Amino acid sequence: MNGQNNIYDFDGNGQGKNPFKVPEGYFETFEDRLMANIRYQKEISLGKNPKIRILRPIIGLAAAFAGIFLLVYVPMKTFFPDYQAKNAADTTQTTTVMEEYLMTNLTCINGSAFYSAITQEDSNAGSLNNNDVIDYMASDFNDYDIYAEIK
Amino acid sequence: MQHSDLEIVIGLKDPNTREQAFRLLVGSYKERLYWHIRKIVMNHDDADDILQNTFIKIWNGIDAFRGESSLFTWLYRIATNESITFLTQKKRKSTIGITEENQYLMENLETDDHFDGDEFQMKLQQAIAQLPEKQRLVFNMKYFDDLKYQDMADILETSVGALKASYHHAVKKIEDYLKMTD
Repeated sequence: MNGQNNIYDFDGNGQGKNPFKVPEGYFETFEDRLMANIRYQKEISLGKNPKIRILRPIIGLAAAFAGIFLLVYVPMKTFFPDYQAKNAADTTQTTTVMEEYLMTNLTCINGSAFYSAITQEDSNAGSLNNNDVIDYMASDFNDYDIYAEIK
Repeated sequence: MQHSDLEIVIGLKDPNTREQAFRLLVGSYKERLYWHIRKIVMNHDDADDILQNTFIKIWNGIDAFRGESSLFTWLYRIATNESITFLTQKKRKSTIGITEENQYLMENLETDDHFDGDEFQMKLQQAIAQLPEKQRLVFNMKYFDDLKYQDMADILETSVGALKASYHHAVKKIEDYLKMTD
C-alpha cells in the first residue's frame, strides 16, 4: 500500500472515482433486452389470467378433438375416397328397398281398409264371434281348407 | 436530442405515446440508475438483474406515479428499494446475518471481473462494504454521485439531519478502516 488513506484526495471534480466498469456494449444492448423481458413478463401475466386458466382445459379438449378429427378424417378422405362413397351408396340402396316394399304393399290395400287397420283399437280384438271367423276363412280359403279347419 | 423529465412524464401518461416515452426514460436514466445500483450490490450481474427489475417495476407502475415527487426521485427510490430487497432476499435465503451480508458484498467485490480500480480503490470499497446498510447508501450517494442532501432525503424518505449524521459516521468508519489496514 502506498500510504494513501485520504478519501478526499479527488482528481478535482469533487466526486470519488468510480472503480467499476461494465462489459463492452452493455448499455447499447440494454434497452432491447429490457423490452424483450417486458414482453415476456406480459405473456406470463396473460397466462395467469383467471378466465384463460378456467377456459384452458376446454380449449385444450376442443383442440384435441379437432386434432383427432384432422388426423383421422383428412387421411381417410385423401387415401380412401372410395370407402366413404361406398358407404353412402349402401345407405341409399337400403332406403330405396324399404321404400319399394312399402309402396308395393300399400297399393294392395285400399284407402278405407288401410285407415281402419291403423285406427282399429285392441279392445275390438276380443269381440270376434264364430260367424266372423267363418266369414274371414270363407273369403280366403276354399271349401276343403274350411272343412279341415273346423273338423 | 435530450428530452426533459416533463416531456417524458407527459408521454408516459398518454397510452398512445407510453412506450415511446418509456424508451426515452430508459435511455436517459439507465446509466445513472445502473451505477447507483452497482455501488450498492458491488457486482455487475446482480446490478444488471436489479436494473431490469427496476425498469419493469417502473413500466408496470407508471399509473401510480402521481407527480408529487420529481421523476428523478421516483426512479432512484425504486432502484434503491429494489437493491435493498435483493440484498435482503440474499440474506434470507442463506440465513446470513448483518456481518455475513457485508461478507457477501466483499466476496462480490473480490470475484467481480469488472472491477477497474487500483489498490486504494479496492480498499475503499472493502471499507464501504463493512458499513451498515443506511450508511453505505448515504456514503455512496454523497461521495460518488455528489447528490444534494435534500434529494437524498426525498429518495430515502428521511430527514436531512439524519443523513448528515449517517454520512459523518460513515466517513469516520472508512477512515479508521483505511488506517487500520494501511
